[in-house]
Amino acid sequence: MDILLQFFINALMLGAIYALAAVAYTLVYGILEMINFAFGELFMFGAFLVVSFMLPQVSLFGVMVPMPGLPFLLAAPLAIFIVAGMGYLIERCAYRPLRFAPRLAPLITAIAVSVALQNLAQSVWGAQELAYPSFFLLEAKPIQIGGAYISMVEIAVIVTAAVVMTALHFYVKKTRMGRAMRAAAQDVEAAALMGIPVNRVIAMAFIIGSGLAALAGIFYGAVYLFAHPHMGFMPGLKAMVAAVLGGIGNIRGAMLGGIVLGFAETFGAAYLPNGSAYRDAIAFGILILLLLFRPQGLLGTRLPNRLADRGAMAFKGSASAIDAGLARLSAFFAGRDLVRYASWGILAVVAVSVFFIFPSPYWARVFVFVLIYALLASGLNIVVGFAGLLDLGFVAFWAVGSYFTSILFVEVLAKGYGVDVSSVWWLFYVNLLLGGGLAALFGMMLGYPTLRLRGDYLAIMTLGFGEIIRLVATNWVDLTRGPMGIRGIPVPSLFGYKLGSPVQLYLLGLVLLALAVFLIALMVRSYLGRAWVAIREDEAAAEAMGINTARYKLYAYSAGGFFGGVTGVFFAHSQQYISPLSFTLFENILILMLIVLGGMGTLAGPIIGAAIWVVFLEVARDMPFIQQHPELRFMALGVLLVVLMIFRPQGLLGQKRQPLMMS
Amino acid sequence: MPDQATALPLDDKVLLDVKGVGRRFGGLVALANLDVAIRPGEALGLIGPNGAGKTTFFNIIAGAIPVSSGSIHLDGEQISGLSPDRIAGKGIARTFQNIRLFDEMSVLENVLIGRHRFFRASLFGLIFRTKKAHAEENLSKEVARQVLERVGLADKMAQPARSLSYGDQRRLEIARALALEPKLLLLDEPMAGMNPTEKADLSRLIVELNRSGMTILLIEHDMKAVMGISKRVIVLHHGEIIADGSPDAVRADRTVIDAYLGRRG
Repeated sequence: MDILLQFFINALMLGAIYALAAVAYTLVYGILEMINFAFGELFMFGAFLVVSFMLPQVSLFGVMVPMPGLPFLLAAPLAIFIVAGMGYLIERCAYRPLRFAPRLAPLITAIAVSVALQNLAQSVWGAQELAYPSFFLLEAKPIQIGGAYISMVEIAVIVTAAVVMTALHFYVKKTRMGRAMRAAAQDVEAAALMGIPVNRVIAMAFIIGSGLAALAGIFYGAVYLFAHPHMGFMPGLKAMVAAVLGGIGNIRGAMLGGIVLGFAETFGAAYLPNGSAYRDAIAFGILILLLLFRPQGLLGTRLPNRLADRGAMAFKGSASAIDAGLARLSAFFAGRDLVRYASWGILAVVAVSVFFIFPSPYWARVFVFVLIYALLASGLNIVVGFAGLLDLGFVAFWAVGSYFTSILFVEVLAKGYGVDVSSVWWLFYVNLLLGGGLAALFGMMLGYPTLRLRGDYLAIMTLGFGEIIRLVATNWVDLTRGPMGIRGIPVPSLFGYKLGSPVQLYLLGLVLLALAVFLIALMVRSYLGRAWVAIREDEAAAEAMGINTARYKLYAYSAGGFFGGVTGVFFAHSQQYISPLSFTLFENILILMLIVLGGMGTLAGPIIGAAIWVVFLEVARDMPFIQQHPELRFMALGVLLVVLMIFRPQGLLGQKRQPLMMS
Repeated sequence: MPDQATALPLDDKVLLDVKGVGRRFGGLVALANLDVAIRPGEALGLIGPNGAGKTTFFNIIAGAIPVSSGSIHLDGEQISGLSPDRIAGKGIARTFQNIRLFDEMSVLENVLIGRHRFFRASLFGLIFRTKKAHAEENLSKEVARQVLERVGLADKMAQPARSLSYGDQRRLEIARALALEPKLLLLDEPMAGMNPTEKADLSRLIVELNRSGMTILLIEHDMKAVMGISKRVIVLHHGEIIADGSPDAVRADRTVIDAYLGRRG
């Protein structure tokens, strides 16, 4: 009984934190139909700022800076105020210019903002945890009820959350601004026509939402006594799940969703077999079941993406100096045949790389990574660039390929049957196909339940799948050796001749990439690729022209999955070691960003994006300021992507026109 | 009013047979118990005031909205209940009231999407570029070129669809639908927003298509245009057919005049 009561209080407290952040997601989604992934990072900023204000001194950018050492009750409102201002600025600078762009644009921008903020925080506060200073809530003696102890922090979290959400409820119901928000949530355009200052309403939603996210982050930090650059990531995702659970756009639903999730997670971790290991998977499991059976959520009435047709709207290209310059650059390539264009891309990479690779094994190794990222990005590009489906679970395919071949070679053949793996060198080549095929099968499985979903929901669902696969890889220790990873994967060899040197691996990877691009080109230039692009451009019109959109989406997922799996096999054998750390959501986001950087829906874009990024990572390593703050590179990528999405959505070298026909 | 009757001679073939089709949206009856028979080679005009249910009727035939009651048969085969892509595959092609092209694709590619149902090549065929795969691609390209020739867009084949003028975009939508080699072509207000010259051009094109044997169901607000194209006109009002007959008879019909112009003593 005592333990139950203890769990109950914990669940309520956790649920209250999720609920606060979930309301932020739902408030913005209700009006803009956009998932602001950056709330997770604003959550983290809330915690960092409050800790910084409370301490006497804090190390910022590695320099000790004296701080005011404010009391908690002053530091918290100040932090919330600053984060709300950040939320306003993000909306104003990054999202507002994209309000009428295709749906994928604001989603990708939100992801880029999130990456930029996370790495900004890491630069400012460092990668270590910043401990919460003690304050009155922490020092107060816990209340004892039976055998259960309830800390003052827990009580404060639950009570404050209840008060804030009641206040918000009345704000939305009773005030002028609240009424305007509800009107805008019904129909932004009609509200604007009725004289509602839509821009101010949206800004207000971001300000309130960011404030709530900061409050949630402050509490989360106070409960677990730390602030860390990555602390907002998981709770942010879970709050998003809570918002979807309650019925996105529905404020009371978000509160309910948060509480339900808090309970499911707390009790699931306690009572499900192996529950604590899969704690984080519970939320995503619930999400997938929910989207399958009740996509409108617990309290929701409307289906997501009512305005999905908006995707058909054309980008309003903004003219700018950068744009003009880049346009000239891409005009050079424009009008040329798609494949020739792609071979240009590959040739350029090769031409540049030979100068580095042969003299230096170090650079050869770097370029092996260029190839791995280029392969992954090319595969994901089928799904995102051509078929226009956001996929945040793509790394799962990469993981499937990697684990398949590693388990087969190391665990089964070498350890299980004592086979000398060098005698079955050919199996590597077979596995390229098998691993790809297996991943393609996973692609079908992942794709199937997502078929009815569009845009944002698709993104969350694929994200859930990706996280589950990663958690399985981490926790199913018997099969995958868990976080330790699998060592001793043999390097590829040919008739007993080992291809183990970086240059050899590079050449092998180059062959794979050339094959992959060739195959993708063949698919894209046939009716298959045309169907994908038609679905991207206008799903309803594609259907009316006889395209079975569900089937072609599945084809896109499995084709992308295939290349992800192939890459996984190559990756495992070239690195000789894999662990779940390689297959994170962050990697997925990075691959996505590389595609956007190079140009979505082109063949050369992913390769160029991968080359620019990986080489930049290495070159920038030696720059003086970057040396101390390597994560600034990722922040720069995030900022660059936001700028690209606004001024040049087709990517650095993307050409808008490309023939999708057999020649 | 004898020519209001939908009754056809019994031996006459029916291409699209709409029987007792109804559609409700919650409590609103958008279409009530419609019976329409379209004969092959016919150019049937569908008119009616705003909100009469014309586009709903189109969406129901094309499968974008399911029927609440009744059935639809194409060439004796039931199509109500099928998904839009299956219905398109059976040979019904449509255009949209608000133009819905694949903006980033070229004019030719847009038309090739209309050819989708004729492609059979397997992945194997595509990868190994078999003769068959090439042949069907070439055939479709050829058909697409002919269709574009016919609507007068042959010289703009390589342009992206979004760069076309408004009138050309309307033509491209028709070309895309024609590429499907439909048994029945559904045109939803193809002349909306066009200037008189463009309207006259498009009218001529539709009449030509019909003369060459294409069965057409046409929604249009411009009465003059409808009357020039169709030999038979159906008037929809509040989801019901209030008149069905020759253009002249419909124009003279008392109920039609009331519905359009309001009762005037």
